[in-house]
Amino acid sequence: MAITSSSESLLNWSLRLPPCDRFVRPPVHTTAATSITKSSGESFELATPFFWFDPAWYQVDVERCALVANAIASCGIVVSVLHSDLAQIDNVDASALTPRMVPHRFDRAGLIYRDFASASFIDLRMALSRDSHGRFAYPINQLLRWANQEETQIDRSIDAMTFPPDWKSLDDMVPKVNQLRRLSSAAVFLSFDSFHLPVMMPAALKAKVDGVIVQISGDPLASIVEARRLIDESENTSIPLWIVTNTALSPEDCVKCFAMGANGISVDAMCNGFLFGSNQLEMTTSERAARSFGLPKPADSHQRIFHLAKQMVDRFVADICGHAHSCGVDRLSNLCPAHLTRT
Amino acid sequence: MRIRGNAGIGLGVAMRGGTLAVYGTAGDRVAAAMIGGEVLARGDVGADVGVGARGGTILIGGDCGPRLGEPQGDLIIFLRGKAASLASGMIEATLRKRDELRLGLLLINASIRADAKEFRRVIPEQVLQAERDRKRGEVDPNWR
Repeated sequence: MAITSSSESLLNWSLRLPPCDRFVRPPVHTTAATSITKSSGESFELATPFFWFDPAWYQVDVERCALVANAIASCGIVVSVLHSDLAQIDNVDASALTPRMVPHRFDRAGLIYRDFASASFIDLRMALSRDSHGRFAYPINQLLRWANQEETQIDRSIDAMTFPPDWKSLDDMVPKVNQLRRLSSAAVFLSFDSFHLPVMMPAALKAKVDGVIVQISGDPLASIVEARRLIDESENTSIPLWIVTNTALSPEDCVKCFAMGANGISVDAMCNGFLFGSNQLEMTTSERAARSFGLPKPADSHQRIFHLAKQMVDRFVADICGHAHSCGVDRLSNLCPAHLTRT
Repeated sequence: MRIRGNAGIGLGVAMRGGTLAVYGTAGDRVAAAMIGGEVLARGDVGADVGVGARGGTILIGGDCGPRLGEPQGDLIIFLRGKAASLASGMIEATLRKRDELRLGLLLINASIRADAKEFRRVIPEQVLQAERDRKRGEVDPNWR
């Protein structure tokens, strides 16, 4: 079962079929629920092991952002959002979103003190995100959204920091994590690029973070195996390993990732597609007609967006649970490499 | 906030408002990624002061390490001592009357005894050029 080559692919592995020479009782039900245990020993339950790592909030109007964030969070998916991402809406409070992750960027862009209140996770983000031109920079509209200012049509970016400016070295991660724990009761996760896995993982383990998020380009298999190996060699083998992929994973691929050691998977591709939908298109014909006559939008159009989100997420989770059920496990966390076979 | 002593690395990083006064020295990357407010250091400061700042005011009472400046917005730096080097595109300029007034108020606010005339401004070259090219008139006289 050892995977040594970094070019190993999920395509080379398939889910192991049940044995044909003896009786195996299938589990009654397979649940996607997972629990997170913080380094303090305190634990809490998540309805699903999925999270929305980097939503492009600034590309969509705030009304849509608030609706979609609420809808996705209500399905049990952890949503990464700042208060300032939902700025300009007085009656929307990001604190009400549960489960919520607070992205703490290098230069704390967009972050305000209120973000720490009632957050489930703090993502100490060591990985940089790119603007539309590929630079490590913030699009001007993202900064304007954070500053609660009028957005512009000008295509401009502002460079982002490439290392926390208040850190001398990675050794400063320990006091930083402790500081975040004092500010909030949330679980502190560290996110970084898979390219920096050999450097960042030991630093994360030393800082005793509550979990790690690895951003992976391309096939995730080799990076998951390498990350899991580093975790298993450490003292804290129960630390959750969440992954972010730049491509959408099929339900079967997700199950393979869970079996190889991932504990959480980003569903950005699925959720971003929903974010860029249109409130207008998701209305019925009569609602659109009413709106064109200037009548207020009916309240149940919000419910329809919630329903669509729930339908989309439920189907995805059911497909994953179905594949996991075929492996004979009752929880996704019980999947292991023995449930896979090389093809 | 007043700090009687020395500050380490990253004093006032990403601060959004308020006044932070240090009566000793400060380390590298003072006020990096700053958005607003004022940072005052009476002593020497380290390298990369104000890098990536998008607003606010920095006052340095002593000398400064290499690469001073490189803001990405309307940051103003007042420097009394010498800078080891300025970041690309930054230039030293004399104070305008309005800067002297503003600086005097800052010094009083932070309880630092100094004369505003001892300071110089460090600003982006294009900002200085824009100031020089600005047309003056009766309602915008050149002494302001």
